[in-house]
Amino acid sequence: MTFRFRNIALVAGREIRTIVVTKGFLLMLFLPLLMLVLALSLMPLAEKVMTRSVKERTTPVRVLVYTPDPGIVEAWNASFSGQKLPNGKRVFELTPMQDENAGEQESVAKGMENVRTRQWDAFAVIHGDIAQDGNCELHTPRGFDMAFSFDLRRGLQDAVRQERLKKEGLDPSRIGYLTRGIEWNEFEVTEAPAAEGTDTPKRKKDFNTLFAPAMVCLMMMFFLTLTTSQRLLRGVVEEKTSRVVEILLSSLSPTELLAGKVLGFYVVGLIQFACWVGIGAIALQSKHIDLSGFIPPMYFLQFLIFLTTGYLFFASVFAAIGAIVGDETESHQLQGIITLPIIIPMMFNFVFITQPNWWVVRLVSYIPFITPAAMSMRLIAAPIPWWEILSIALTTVVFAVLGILAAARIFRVGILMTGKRPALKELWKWCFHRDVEAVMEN
Amino acid sequence: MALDHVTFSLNGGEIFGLLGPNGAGKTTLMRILVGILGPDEGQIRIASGERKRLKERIGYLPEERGLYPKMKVGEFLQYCARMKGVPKPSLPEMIRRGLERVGLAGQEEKKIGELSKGNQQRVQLLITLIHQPDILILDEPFAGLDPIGADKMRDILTEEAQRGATVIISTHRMEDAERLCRSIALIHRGKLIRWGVLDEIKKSEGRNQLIVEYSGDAEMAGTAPGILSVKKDGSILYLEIEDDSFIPGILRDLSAKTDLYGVRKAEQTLHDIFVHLVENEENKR
Repeated sequence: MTFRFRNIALVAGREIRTIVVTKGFLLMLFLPLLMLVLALSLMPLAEKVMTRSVKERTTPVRVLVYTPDPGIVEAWNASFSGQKLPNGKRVFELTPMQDENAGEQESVAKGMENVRTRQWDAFAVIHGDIAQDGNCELHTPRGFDMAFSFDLRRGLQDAVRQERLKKEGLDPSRIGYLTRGIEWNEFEVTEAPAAEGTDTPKRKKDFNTLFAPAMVCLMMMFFLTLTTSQRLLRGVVEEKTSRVVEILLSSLSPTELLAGKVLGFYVVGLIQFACWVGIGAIALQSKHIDLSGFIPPMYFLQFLIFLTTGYLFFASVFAAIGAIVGDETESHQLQGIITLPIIIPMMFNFVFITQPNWWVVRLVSYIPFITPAAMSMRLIAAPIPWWEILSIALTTVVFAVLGILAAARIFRVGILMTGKRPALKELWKWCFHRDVEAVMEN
Repeated sequence: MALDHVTFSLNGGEIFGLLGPNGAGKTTLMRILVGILGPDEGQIRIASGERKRLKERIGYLPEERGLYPKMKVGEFLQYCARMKGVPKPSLPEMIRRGLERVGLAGQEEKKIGELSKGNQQRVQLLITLIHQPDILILDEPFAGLDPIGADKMRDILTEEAQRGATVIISTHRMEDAERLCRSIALIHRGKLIRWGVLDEIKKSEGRNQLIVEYSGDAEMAGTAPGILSVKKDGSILYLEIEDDSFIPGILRDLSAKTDLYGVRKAEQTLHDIFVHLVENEENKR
């Protein structure tokens, strides 16, 4: 098997040019930024939507209440004392039903009729002692704003809570003060020694500051390895179905073609990674957030190692799939099977984050399908010894190299095949097939 | 097995025809020659002039042709030529001359997908030629070409052979093989049936046939000495004879029983030889 790096570079260069200079790639590149901008612009919009009901209303929401204890209505009304409409009127106006001669059944029927005819906005029925084992039913017409329902429920809950405390002779505001939470700050003391005259280096540590960056990194790893490998697969299938591959193979060896493609798509992935990191850094900088407070600085190098080895492994598998399938539709079935073992460890992300040094987690990190996802999370969650990082990386490299060699053999035989997809036994045979090469004489 | 012990040799500067019915193994053989596929055993020996990689010395036009439709003509030619080891500085001039040669002058900046099918075929031919290969391998080069395109293809192949290149073509068009090829190889079901110089094959494989136009009773033709087989088609008799020395006797006997209007020796075409040899092979099975 002979290589010409010139040929590998030529193929890689073409792939990079073909992908990078496209609108689709630019969109993918700036997609996270677009999503961020979208999310930021949607937040005020969401807030607007949530408060729209109150802001657009000019009259209070009138609620008729049937209850054996009219006192609770007063407390319920009081719980909304801070809420006002833009014109200064109260948001809710709760009125007890006053017909002492009527029985419960008759009163409820009357109240429901009032709602049906829209004389009242809502009708609440409180059965029994709501502070003990009673309950409340809210009857509303079709289209009644859900936000008002939530507020009414919260208001009644507050009122009942206050009533219960008062009954026990307790001051609700005092209770609130005494049962307030404490301020808890957790820091991780970094391994770097403190410079003279400075404090020991530390970084903030809690589930959110740990979980959020770990999930971002995991998604980035997943997205980069998988989408780049899928792009490679599509490229192989396209060249196979358009038959241009035969022209290429008359100039290159299948290994050169495969290596060029893998390298080209890797560079494309790196460009994407660099852009995302850049965008992320700018975004954090603009919010005056120090990234090193969340992610250890060495993490980027380690991430890159596992991104590279993970990508090489998946790329070889996907390229081999591309070579044996007849068209893209057929490739989707096999892709699904291959993607499953990548998705499963993602579902157990909390295990990798909360138990990064558990022996099971350490062991499964050596499985090539799991390595990228596992390591992208473990490395953020806890310091992993260098020997372990290197041995896991080395294992993935070995599998990646074996994968590429096998893929090149499969690629060589499969790329010009049409018709029935080869069986596993055949693929195994192809991996060990040795060709006779031409002899040149002088 | 796609190919079974196929052995032949050919010289530089000649056009060699690889003939055979569909599924005979021609494309597989060509792919092995190019190095796209590898044989399980055997050797391909090539007299080396320059110390270049084999693939750089070969120009290959596959039967099923594909291009990158979104790539520009010049860009794709550059890409292919660079893979064939053509140095970058000489590329623009080579591409310009090449496009002129195949009738696509000034089309460098056009996207391949924007070209007509015929012009796309010309681009594919140019990819095969651009690096001035020592060996040209063309799988069904005349497929899909109009008469003018076919003439152009014949001219180019002849020019390449005159330049000293070894040209190997596979074709179903026997008249093209007959016009262009100095030597041929006939493959059937993966086996080499005949190979050699076309004229010699014609001489050795050509059947001695006499075509006689007549009226009357020609029953005696079946029993006359020197006649191997008789085929009757209305008023025409096709007589396969042992050799020319029997002709006077045969004609004498025929003219005694029938009225003869015309007699001529049949010209054996490559088509006839091809059909005859393939039929023989099928009968042996």
